[in-house]
Amino acid sequence: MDLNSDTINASNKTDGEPGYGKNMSGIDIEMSEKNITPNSEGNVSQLTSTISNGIEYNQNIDSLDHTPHRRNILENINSTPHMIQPHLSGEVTLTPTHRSFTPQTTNPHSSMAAITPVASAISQAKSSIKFQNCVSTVSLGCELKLLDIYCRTRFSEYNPARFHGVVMKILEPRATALVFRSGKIVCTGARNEHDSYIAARKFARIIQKLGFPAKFLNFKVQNFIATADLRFPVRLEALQQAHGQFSSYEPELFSGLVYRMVRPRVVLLIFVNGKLVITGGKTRNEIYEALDIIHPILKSFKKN
Amino acid sequence: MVSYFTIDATGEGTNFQKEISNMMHGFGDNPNPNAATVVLVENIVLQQLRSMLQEALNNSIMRGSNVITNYDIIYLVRKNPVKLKRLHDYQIKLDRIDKNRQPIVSTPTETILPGLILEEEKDLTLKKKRTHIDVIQELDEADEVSQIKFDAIDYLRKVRASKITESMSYEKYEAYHKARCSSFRSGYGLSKGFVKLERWINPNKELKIHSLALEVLCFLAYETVAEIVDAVFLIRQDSKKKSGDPFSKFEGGYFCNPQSLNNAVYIKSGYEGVPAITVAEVREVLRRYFTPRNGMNGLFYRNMSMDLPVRYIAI
Repeated sequence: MDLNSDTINASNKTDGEPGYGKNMSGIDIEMSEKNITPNSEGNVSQLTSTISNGIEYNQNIDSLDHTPHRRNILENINSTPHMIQPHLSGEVTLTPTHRSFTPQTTNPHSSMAAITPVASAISQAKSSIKFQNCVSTVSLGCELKLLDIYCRTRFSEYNPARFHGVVMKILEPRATALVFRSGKIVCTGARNEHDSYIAARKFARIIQKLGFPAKFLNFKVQNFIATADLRFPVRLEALQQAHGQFSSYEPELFSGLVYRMVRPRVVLLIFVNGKLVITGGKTRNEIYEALDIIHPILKSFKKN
Repeated sequence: MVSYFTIDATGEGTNFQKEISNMMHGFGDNPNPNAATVVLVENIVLQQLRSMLQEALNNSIMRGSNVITNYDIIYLVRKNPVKLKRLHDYQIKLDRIDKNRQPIVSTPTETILPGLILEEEKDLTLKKKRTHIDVIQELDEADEVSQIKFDAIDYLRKVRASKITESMSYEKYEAYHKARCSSFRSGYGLSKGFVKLERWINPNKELKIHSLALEVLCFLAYETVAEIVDAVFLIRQDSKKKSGDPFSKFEGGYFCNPQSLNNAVYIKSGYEGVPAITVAEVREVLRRYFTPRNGMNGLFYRNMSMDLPVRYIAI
């Protein structure tokens, strides 16, 4: 039990601390200074007390950190020392000096048929899917003072005349957040849902450190944007003819064909050279599903 | 084609010859359109746009505004519900494209989800909103536009394009696609602007034209080129017609209902053989457009002032 809690602490530290240390070093330095001289300022005493109190801090992080992948990491860590060594490894059994070695009459290699691994076109296309952007939203459950946030954080922009929200950036994972007065955050620019989650947590933590009673509610991935490459050209005119109700193709306005799939509900931008942009999917599976559906369709409109 | 507008060729520096040549290719002309034809078509489009602007200016002055807005331009189109419908669809498509492209462009301020936009953001986006549909609904009192469900001409153009591309090699198809992408807007990507178009039609900057009006003008210019090329194909079809052939009506032309649309597309698949559109053909198109028929300016009508009918090819 003791060991367990230690590992949790360790993992929390490794997860949370260095990232902040790099990105929001301004705040962290401010915080650590306050830790050293706790009585220097009265108005931030609440803040410093929560941070200096190690147990509370860890619990706090702990309550924020209930995700499946985190648990996986922990399991891995725990299981490594108890791993049972296999009695014999493969190389040992095949050496002639070992007692279990039996000489064979035929060359085992001659019975093997050489099969070159060939991936089907659709699996090739699937493996070419690259997730470019993941948009997620989260609610902090409290009103925010945007000007305050803007003044006290690095890498943030706030221009109420242009946009009613603070635009905040972090470098690891590289992401941008739009922070609104209502306490809602839109996190964009992360490559996948995991990065997006981490980034959203970091933003929440930053705002929490500024003294707002921030919680982490209703985290939801809203949109995946992925690109894929089919490796064959598509005749968009024919596709437009056959799937007129789903597609709109106006080359004079936009060079790609916009295909709105009903199920799963995603939008595909299809280009002549066989590249695709898939947007609007809420999960990874929807993107894969969409490619599964569109691939045979596009195959039939292949341009040779 | 000597007219008041072509004499004061102050817009000498800008021309749309390359774009128009690409457009004609896209509409089904030879990959290398006749240069003289391109110049002629460019002249026609410019003249048409300038006289449209002239009329729109008069309207805007009558309304008491000093800027030509999209209302003034759409007002000229008011009698043609089919074109209104196409413009209506044009706005829908443009809006949709903007919406689709926004998340890809990584300017953070544009990537908000519609559900999360606060009230303040809404009027920010309103500024840029296109208002063509609102204008169309205002001008179209009998609600004719909403009753048009099927745009036959547009459909025909698409069928023609897909027939042309049927047996094209990939290299040629790529070139064809590039040609189809050309428009009267300059620049590439989201920031396609109307700077060049404005310099072309309004070289001295004497008129104040709203950007929405320029968008409609851009649409009308594109339509003008399309109509000319369409009409050239019709003329070619007519010239092939043999009198007394019972099947000639199935080749399209005079008779084209949606059931026989496939026959109405004159171009055969495989487009190597399409001869480039000649100047004479374009002139013939213009003659047919501007020939007075029955009615106000037609035969047997006493036109006191003998003024020429004002007609716009795109309207």
